[in-house]
Amino acid sequence: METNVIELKRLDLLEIEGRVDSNTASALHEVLNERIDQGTSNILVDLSNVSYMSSAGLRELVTALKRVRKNGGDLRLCAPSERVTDVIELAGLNSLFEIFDDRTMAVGSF
Amino acid sequence: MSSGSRRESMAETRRLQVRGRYQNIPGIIDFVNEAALAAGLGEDEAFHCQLSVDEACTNIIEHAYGAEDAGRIEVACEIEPGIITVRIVDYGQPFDPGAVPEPVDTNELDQIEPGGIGLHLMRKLMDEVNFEFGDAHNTLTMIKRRAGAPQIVDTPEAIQLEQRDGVSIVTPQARMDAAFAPVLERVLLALIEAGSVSLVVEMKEVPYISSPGLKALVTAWRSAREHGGDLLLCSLSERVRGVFEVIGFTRIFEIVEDCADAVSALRGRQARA
Repeated sequence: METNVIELKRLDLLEIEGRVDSNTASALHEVLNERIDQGTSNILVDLSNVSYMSSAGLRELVTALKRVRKNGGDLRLCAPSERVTDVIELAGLNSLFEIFDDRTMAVGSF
Repeated sequence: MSSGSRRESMAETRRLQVRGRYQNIPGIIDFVNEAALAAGLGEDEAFHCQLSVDEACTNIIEHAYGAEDAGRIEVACEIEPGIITVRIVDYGQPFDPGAVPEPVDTNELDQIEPGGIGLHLMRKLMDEVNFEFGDAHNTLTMIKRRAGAPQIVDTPEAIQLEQRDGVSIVTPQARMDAAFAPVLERVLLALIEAGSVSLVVEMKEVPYISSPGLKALVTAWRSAREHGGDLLLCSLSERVRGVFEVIGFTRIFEIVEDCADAVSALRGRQARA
């Protein structure tokens, strides 16, 4: 898994590439926590290059979502593949996150 | 990592043993994926098996062992036509699945406890999930069956498709010439791609075959073999059999009398594989 953070005016855009599973979730945890610790409260996670997501990855997203909502911000998702969308829905988390097909729309939503 | 062995005549069992480390999980789920496809499950069903096994192994490392490198994980996949049974054994602490609350479908963030998501996914994705706790080890058994629909690829009207005992019986009902051969080839390759690697082409309604038809059969036969299966021919008409003998195809293909013979030959092969 690789991550890349792009700082935009109103939000941080986090691009993730590869597998988000129990082997890589701790790295995702670190990058999310680092941004939030630095005062970011709006995060958009671009999932378009995520090939695989297990509950270990979802858990990090939920944990980060809880933190930013507490600070009055939000964590939103964009462009998940069909497989990743299925996993989010099966986990019952699709109503928890705001999920956008399109990254530009997602950026504009903040 | 160790290789597999056979349990009984109808089922094949493949085994894998790894140290309980997160980085070993992708290897386990590749192994399970291959076994699921070998059982004739669809790609989505095989993916469901992968994700469930990932969640199970993650739980073992996290909860049963409490850390990485604290014990081994043994995985056995029993493959039967249309069914995979995955058994996962660990030697850690027993874990009470009843103690894990079902996650609720809610947008009330405070109610979400992310811990139970893995178990919830396993129960949703697999047909059966059963935990057993012994004195020395814990066993998780999960079963996934192929969905009832026998039609796993779109077939044109001139090709009949039937699934019997994990074998795909393909019955073309047309002259196997340059016009029809690519259609048949596409159907056969799509079946193999979908994990249906044991095939019979029943030739009883093929009155004529020319070289594109022969090429389609050879291409599909080669692909089936590359995927660990086989393609047999049965019920050849006199004329088609004559063509086969002239060009030496009877030495490449296994040709049997009828469908039932072909299915039992392929099933025997699946069991020995």
